[in-house]
Amino acid sequence: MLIDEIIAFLKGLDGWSFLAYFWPFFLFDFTRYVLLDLVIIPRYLWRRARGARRQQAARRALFKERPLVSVIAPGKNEGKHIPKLIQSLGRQSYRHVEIIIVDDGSDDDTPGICRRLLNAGKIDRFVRNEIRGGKASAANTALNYINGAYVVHLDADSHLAPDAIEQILLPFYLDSNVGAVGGDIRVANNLLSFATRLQTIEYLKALSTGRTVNSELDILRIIAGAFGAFRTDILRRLGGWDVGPGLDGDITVKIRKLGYRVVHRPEAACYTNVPDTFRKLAKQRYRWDRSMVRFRMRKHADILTPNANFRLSNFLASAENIFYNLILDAKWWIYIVQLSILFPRHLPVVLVINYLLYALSSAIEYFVALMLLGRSRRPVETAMAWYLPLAPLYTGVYLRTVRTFAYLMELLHRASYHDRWNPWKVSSIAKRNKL
Amino acid sequence: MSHPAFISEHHTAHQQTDIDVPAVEREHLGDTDVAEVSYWLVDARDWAAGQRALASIRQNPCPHVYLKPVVLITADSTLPAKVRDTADLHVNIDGFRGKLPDAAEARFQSIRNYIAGLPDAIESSDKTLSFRVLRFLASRDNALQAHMTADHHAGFVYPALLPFFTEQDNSHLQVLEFLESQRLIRGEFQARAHLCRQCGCAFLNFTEACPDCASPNLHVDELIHHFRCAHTAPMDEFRQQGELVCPKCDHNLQHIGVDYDKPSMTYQCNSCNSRFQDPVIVSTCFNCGHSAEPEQQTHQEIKRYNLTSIGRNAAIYGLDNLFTQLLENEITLQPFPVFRQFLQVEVARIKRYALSASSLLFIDLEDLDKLYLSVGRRAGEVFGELGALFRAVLRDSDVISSRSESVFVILLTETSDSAAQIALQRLTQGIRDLLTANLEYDPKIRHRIVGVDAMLDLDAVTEAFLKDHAD
Ligand SMILES: [Zn+2]
Ligand SMILES: [Zn+2]
Ligand SMILES: [Zn+2]
Repeated sequence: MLIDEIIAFLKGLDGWSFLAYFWPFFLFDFTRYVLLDLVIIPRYLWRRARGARRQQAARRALFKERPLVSVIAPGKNEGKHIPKLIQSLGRQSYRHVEIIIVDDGSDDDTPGICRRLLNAGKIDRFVRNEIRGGKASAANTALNYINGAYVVHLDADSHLAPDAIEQILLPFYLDSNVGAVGGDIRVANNLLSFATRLQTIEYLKALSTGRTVNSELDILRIIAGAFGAFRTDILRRLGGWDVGPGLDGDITVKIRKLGYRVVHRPEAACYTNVPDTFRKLAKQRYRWDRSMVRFRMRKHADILTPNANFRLSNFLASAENIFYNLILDAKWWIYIVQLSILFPRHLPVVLVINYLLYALSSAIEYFVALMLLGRSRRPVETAMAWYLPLAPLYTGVYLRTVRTFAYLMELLHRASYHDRWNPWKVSSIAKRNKL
Repeated sequence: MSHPAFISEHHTAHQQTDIDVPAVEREHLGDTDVAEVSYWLVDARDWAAGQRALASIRQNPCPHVYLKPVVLITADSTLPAKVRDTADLHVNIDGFRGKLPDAAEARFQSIRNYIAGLPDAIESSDKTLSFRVLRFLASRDNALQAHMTADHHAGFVYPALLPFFTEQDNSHLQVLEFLESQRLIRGEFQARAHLCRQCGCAFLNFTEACPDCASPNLHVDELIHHFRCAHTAPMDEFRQQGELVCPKCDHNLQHIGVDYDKPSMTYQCNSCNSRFQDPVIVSTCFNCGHSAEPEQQTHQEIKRYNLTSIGRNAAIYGLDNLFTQLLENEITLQPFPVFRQFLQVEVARIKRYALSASSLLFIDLEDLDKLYLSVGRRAGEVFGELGALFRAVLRDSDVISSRSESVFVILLTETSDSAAQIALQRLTQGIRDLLTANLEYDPKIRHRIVGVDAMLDLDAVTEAFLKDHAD
């Protein structure tokens, strides 16, 4: 039996040979994810509990100053989502907001829906660009119409927890050097399909826990466009967002380069709809993964080289990302080759053990995330535990395949420049200028 | 032998022309054998005098005078429409030797035929204005068109009707509305206008204004989207010494559509600095200064009018059935012969069962068309309410008929004289309440109650009641 075989195999191993068989897990994934989670998240929770007074003081300062916050939601053909978004904005504990919707050349009934909301006084500004300019240009259009001291960037197909705006603003009052804050993106359509269930687990691990850990280590490298808060003066200094895809990571790096801190706020919950089929999901990830190559290695390569603006944490933020995603992506294929050449006889057993190890670490990360979510955790999120055994298949096989393909395409063909995500005119300019 | 006639204020006017036609001073129109006049010539070279002459024709009560074609003699071939269309034709003094174009001659002949066909053409003096207008429209068998004008408060006039009125105000529009409400003419869409909600004036100034502070002091600019850096800002921020330079990435902008485009317009308020894409539109009345969003102003449909077949009939035989049309929405008006039969049955019944009594009630709402003019476009509603009142007071077993536009005769079955008094009291009080309370209009109501018995002669009492009215 396989189990007997596994036990027999494990009994025959000493420490070093164990490492030789399972080095990718212990050297990289376990230390980087599980171990760090187990150290950083309890530390974060402990400090949060101890810092309750500081949090209270920041909250009082926020409500005393009551800065105007400009909520911007740029997008194309998002009209159908806007009413729900507006509803969740209407229930916020922090109410001094103005809402600016930018319609990036929609060809559906978005303008009609938004004009009705405008006339009903539900939104403050509606701006329509007749010619689609892409996400960056739409967000930058919004910057012309804002009056707030802070900008909250939202994806139209998401909605916020009732205290989300308050929570995402607090870091600015906890540390005046904070330039931008990322909100906690969670899955809204958890139960829609198998794909959305697995993404729920992934988001909890990678976004809620992963970004909190990165933030604590001061190597946070992306603020989600779905829910991010920015100081208006910094956005103006930068001239807003640059051409996407990957504009969220891009602007985060630029803010870091200016010397500001960028933090994640796990308590600021934003619920978003994720792709409901594996096919749609693959397309989305293909786009995301290519932008990693483009932005880390091409556009912001200067971070990796010593110069006058060099900061260690910026270097680490970028290097960690490149190392763990791009370089370690290759390690897997090396590992598989290594196993098949050196231990072809034990290949099935080693793979099964690997699977169990990853399933176990997935479970640990998942429960750490549930702990982190604390009171904002929803029953559906806890119920996803049943799907944990499938997590390694999802992350290890499905996502890895998409990612590898994306990296290869981008490195070899610069495929992202042909992305339909941007209007073709914008893409061709970006390619010509190696942006 | 018919002939044209010159209308003048004094004899000098036509002596300055070579046209050899008899002249009639406008003060002496009544002394002329008007039936012999084929059309009127009016010297319109002095438009004020021409207007006076034209008015004296159209305001004359005799159909041979006011319905006759009028030809304006002018020195100017490019008359403004508001002048040209007040008459049937205009001719240039230089070319005119008393001969009309064939088309005009044919048109005039059909007008003369119409006048000749009126049953009471000579004796009739068409005193009510609405009736004269109706006959005028019937004699000219084409649609009455509205003309845009800056001279008139409402922005639109029907020039051909203006000479009928001494006051150049809204009266002619009210007469048309009245005729339409009586279904004598039918209006169809010709144009639409925004009128001031406060004073009805058509002259509104439309301006764009700031949605935040309502100031009309706005700066408009185009947004520019620079492709290479995604910078999107007003064009002003890109201007540098006659060139467009991106303030974010310092690159020159070369060709629209290649390295940049203009996705939308943007407004900035010079008063409060707020920026927005859609200014609000404010309309301000030139006459009374009232400001409102265009949707809040009165939206008036301007109509062109055609005679209905009822109207064509009424133009020949008189306005006997106006209010009745509206009343019929609420109650069933029996034709008078049918009413007479009902009454005969009732008389026979009463004769057989000597115990019961019924009453005949006459009601005359005098000056109904004046009432119309005073309530304007709300007449439909008012008359509808009057109808509802009739319906509320009368029972289903009562029979009602009308003898003219304003005279009603009602058979109240199983109703004694005193009970009929009560019904009459409720009806007249209701009418008075409705009209005085809502319109401050005190209606003249004549009435009479006649007991129904074997001796009753319906036609005689009806004639007697109508005759009293004439006195
Ligand atoms: Zn007015
Ligand atoms: Zn203003
Ligand atoms: Zn630029």
